[in-house]
Amino acid sequence: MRLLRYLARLAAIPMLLGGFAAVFAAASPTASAVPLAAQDGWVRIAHLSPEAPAMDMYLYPFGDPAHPTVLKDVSYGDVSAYMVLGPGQYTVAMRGFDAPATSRPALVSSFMVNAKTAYTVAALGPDPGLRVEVLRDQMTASRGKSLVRVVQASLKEDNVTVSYGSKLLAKQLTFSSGTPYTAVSPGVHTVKFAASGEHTTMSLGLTADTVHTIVVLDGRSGLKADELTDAVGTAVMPKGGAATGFGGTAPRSAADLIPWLLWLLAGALITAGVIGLGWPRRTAVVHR
Amino acid sequence: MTGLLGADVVATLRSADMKVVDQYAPALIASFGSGGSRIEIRAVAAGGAAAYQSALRADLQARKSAGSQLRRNPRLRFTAVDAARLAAGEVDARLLATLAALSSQFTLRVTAFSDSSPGAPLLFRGVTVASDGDGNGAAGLAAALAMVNAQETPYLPAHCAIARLGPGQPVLLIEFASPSPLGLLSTVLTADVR
Repeated sequence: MRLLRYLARLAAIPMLLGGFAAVFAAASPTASAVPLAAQDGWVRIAHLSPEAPAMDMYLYPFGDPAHPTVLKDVSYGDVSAYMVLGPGQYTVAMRGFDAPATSRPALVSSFMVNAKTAYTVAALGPDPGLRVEVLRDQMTASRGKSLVRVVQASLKEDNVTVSYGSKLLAKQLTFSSGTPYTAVSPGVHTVKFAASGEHTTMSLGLTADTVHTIVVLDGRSGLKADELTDAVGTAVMPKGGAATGFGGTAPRSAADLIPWLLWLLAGALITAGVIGLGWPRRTAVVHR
Repeated sequence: MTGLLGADVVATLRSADMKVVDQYAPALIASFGSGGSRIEIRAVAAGGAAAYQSALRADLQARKSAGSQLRRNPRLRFTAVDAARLAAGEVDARLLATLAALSSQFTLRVTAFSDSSPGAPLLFRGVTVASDGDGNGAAGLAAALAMVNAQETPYLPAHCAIARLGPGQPVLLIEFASPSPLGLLSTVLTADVR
């Protein structure tokens, strides 16, 4: 069943490409004359609530509610690619999976998208009682370093302490909160999670000039962790989501779309590997 | 006064030690009476007066920005007075977010805001809206009412009802209770590097 669903998603990639192309077309009709990062920000959406069902998420611009950005079928473990959004205030609303756009939404948050800034809109917590946190993402790391932060999304543990190698990343981190980014030396180190007598470890390799978010989640027995790539390299635009399979934002000009599409396709291959390893993450379909 | 830290709202007499009151409960929600016997209902600021004032300034800027964007929303129509209040950041953030969400499905005319900026002595901050131009006013407002009533805190209003404004004209009245929570329009966890 899982394989069938995965195959269906692979088959949907061309549609996904079309969808993103539509995003860019809608976002800037004069794209070739405007540098990508001049005005826009980037937003990705993460479903990190194991108890909440699949949902459709809507981002409504305050000034133009007729053209929301919509992510359909967002399920636990999903992390979208970064989407290019014009600067301004947005309302975040949720509907049940495949509910009509005319049905009643649940307002969950409102936040301001600033130019050249990346955000993660994360659904956390129990259901009912789901809450949404908006995280501002770091887009660049100091040369030769990796940046890591921790978001605590475990319902079972009130406080979690997390370290990466010898570096303490989070001490007694409470649910629905996050740490600042910590600069760490790149390499392969052990991430340790400790909470109320329980210890969990995972190996995590980080390369230089990358930015990451470690999300603490509830596993079937004890804690588990997920790693999100926020940015790769020292470019101005975020490369987040690459590890999930469809990461990165795209330049707007047609020529510049090519490397982004390569990112996307490479990401699809990575996704195949990721899913093969049993990670829950997948990518929802963007509509606009 | 340290007992205040566990409370959200306090009632004081104006004759109380206002320096202490202002330190722990700087946000005036409502007042009754006059002179030394005036009773004030105040919101407690967990971080103290300085933190509250800082948050209030940030919230005002966010309301100005969001309100100005809402003025450009083609599905919402405002009077000149109300448009000016939006631009000045005088409208409650919950009303701004609610109007933005309603405009995703309805075309509305705002007939009045019944609030002013947080800190003003009012118990409720409200908006009155009417259907605008779709020829299906009552049904549209009923659907808008259902949408508003389906929300959860902090976007679930204290009161929401359809009323009549003049002969035959239905309007939707939405009211949120004071105090207005600060920071609703800028719910972003920062990306500091340590």
